[in-house]
Amino acid sequence: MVETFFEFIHSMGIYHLTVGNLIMWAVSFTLIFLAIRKGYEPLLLIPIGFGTFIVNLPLTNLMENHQLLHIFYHYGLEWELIPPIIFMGLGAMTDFGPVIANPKTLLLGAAAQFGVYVAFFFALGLGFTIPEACSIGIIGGADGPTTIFTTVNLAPHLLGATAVAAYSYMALVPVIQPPIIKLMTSKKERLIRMKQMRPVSKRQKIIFPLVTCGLVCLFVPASAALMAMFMLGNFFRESGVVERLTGAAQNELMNIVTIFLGIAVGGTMSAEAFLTPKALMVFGMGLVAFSFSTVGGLLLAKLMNLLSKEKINPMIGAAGVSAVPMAARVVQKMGAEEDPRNFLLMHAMGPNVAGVIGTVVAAGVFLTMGH
Amino acid sequence: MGIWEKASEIFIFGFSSVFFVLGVLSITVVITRVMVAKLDAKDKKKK
Repeated sequence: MVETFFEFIHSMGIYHLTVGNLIMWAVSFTLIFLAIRKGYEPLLLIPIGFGTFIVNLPLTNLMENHQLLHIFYHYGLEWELIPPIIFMGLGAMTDFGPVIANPKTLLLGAAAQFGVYVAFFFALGLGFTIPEACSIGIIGGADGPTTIFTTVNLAPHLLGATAVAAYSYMALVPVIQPPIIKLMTSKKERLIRMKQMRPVSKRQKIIFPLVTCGLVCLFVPASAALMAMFMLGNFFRESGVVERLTGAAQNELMNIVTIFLGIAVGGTMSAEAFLTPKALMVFGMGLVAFSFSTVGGLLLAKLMNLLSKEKINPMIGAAGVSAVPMAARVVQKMGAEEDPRNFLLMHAMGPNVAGVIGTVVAAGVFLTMGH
Repeated sequence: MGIWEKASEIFIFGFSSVFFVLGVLSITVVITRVMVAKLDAKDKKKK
């Protein structure tokens, strides 16, 4: 009887609870708190936080082979299914009009990948391997699905850390970017008004996703899964004849895969996998990546002003950090603080969406060379 | 090949690829705009 009693106690999860589990509960509650109280990326942080909580309940074994979270992780992420589907939804939501109206902004999106490479070298300096450093560097692209796609391919053991760092810092863009922008620009530069954007015809908008998909996939085939789906979603939207598909990509499908993505990422955040010095360092590197990406965009915008007669407000360079549309909103807000009649939002959306393309290209090169 | 040598290669090829691809894309957008403007003008004439 006594033996059975002890066996019964042993079969309870509470008996096997570790300090690590408790710390991870605290992490999960923090994520949930940030999502609910602060509104930081709630669509992702709620399922990630909950996934983190349940994977740290001892003996539930939800991430063991053929168990629930492992199935989400295996078919959704290891099979590289969810990030491309999310990209299709993003494409269906994205208006490339500002980029087409002012193609120069594509270069700002490229410059804002600077932080990706700074963080890459920082990570190598801290002793990470090349595949790990690639996964950490790509956080600087401020693009969750691309970060997840790259990490699953190159350093799956860091998935929880890179995904949470990417989404957390994306949510913190309004905190991280303004001091850097103020430090790097003068008041005179922040007051620059940009002339109204030229109109973009429907025909141009229809051609853009086809041309972009073809070009990017021809040059960097490794990025095809993300880029093709991104442009497919946008093609749905701009074709104007498949509203149902556009709606499904933007809403139903996007919402469903977001649930699976969040819970699968949360599932990777067990105490054993997450509470390691490497995973914790990833967070520091993420901040480095975001900061230097902002600097890269600002520097190129300033350089463009030196070389061109038509001045641009250099703050829009900071929006090259993808984080759509948060980074563009930050620029709009800062511009309006200096001059309430300065409307920079649409100008900033150009580098903002260009940054997404830039990050996918950077990820494609990492996937090709980083193994 | 050493880790730093490989890292330098990734940086050089990676960052330059990002600029190259987006640069080519921006030029293509301009070319497309010109072509589309011509097509739009033709359409207007037909109407």
